Amino acid sequence: MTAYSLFELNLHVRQVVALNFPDSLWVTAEVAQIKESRGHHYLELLQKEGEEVIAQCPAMIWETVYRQLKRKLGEPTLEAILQAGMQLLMKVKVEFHERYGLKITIEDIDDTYTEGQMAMQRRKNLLTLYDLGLLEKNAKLPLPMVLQRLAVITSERAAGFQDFFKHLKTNQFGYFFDLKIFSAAVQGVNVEREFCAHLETIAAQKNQFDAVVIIRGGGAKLDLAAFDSFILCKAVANFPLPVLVGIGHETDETLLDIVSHKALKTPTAVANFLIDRSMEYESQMVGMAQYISRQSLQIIQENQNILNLSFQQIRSKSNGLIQYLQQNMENIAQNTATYWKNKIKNENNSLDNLEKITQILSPDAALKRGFSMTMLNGKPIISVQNVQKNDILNTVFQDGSLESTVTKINQ
Amino acid sequence: MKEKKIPTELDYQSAFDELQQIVRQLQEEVVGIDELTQKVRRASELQNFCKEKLRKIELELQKIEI
Repeated sequence: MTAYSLFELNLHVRQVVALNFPDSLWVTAEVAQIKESRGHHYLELLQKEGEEVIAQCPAMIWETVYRQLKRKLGEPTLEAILQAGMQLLMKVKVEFHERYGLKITIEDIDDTYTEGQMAMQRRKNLLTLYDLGLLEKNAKLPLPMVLQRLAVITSERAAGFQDFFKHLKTNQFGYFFDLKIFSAAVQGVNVEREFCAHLETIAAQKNQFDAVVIIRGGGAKLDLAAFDSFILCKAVANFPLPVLVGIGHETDETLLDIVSHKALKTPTAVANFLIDRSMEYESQMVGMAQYISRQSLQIIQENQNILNLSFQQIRSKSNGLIQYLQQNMENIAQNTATYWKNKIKNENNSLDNLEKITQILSPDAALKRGFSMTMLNGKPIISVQNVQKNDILNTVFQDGSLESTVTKINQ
Repeated sequence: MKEKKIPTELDYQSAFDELQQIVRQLQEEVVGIDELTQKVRRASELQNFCKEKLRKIELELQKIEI
């Protein structure tokens, strides 16, 4: 039995491999890991069946090839597809090295395959989300009239966030927005994990926020793959607060856009939406207040008119009454005057009569008519029995008196 | 008449609803002058509340203190 040395064996394998793989060939695999060192990229490729890994192998991209790929696909796309979790279709050279073993060198990448794979995955996720009834779940949450306290998940360095922030802070109406920033990767394999962690944190203090805003600047189409993540979309759909999304893309909708409460094209559009909402609220409030003010003036005017009318009626009625009373009074006064005049006249007459009677009855009047008064010692004599013989009597006439002596008394 | 308590922490929705209610009352009911004064005063309060809160200067001041 001949025994080979390991070197001889590996050399043999190398020859077998070289003979059997004379040309490059196209291979599909998932990227498990990728590292960069001095411009070279070292990948770990694998294939899964369900969750089980059924094949695994390291691969590499030389720095020169990487630069070619960058020119061909554009840097954002290349970076987007060379990430853990991505499905790649690669043109590879298979070699065996007696010391380093199987060596797969990537010479080209077909990005359309990756896109297709992602589109397929996306479709699958979409259907699952639909089946679970999650597509409209977040959209059904009531959106507060004013969105002022916002939890913003974004990369603070991204241009998109800067636009958003500046736009909100310098809004022409002076509205204040209370932003709490939750910084996260907005592309690559960490998006899902970091976003979900932030969402959990926010959910724990959901009373402090009116809504969640997810903001990202523009980027390559493949960059958006992270926002098709089933786990992230499910978390957003089930989120207890409305989630607004502005992840900066022109044509394709991500699944995140679909499951969100509201998706806008750009971060600036989200800022405008927030400002407009406040403005709409305020203008409605002001409109109602103005209506109330106008309406109340009108009510006051109406009341004033009613009052004025009442006053007018009272005035005219009372004038009539006063006139009537005055007339009456005059009549009464006239009547009273006549009554008193007559009464006084009557009284005067009575007085006159009385005077006449008095005059008739007065001694002077009697004296004038030829009667005389006989006095004894200054007192009128009413009876002869009070007189004796030889008494000196004084007889009073109207124009003088005389003295006489009593010579005879007849009884 | 029932006195309306002014909540210490008014929110946008309830301010809006209350103002809307006053509008409805003015549209549909006969409002007496005394009541009217109260309503107009309240409307002005609500409007000021919303203007102030939208611009929430005091909140920024609080933040600076902390």
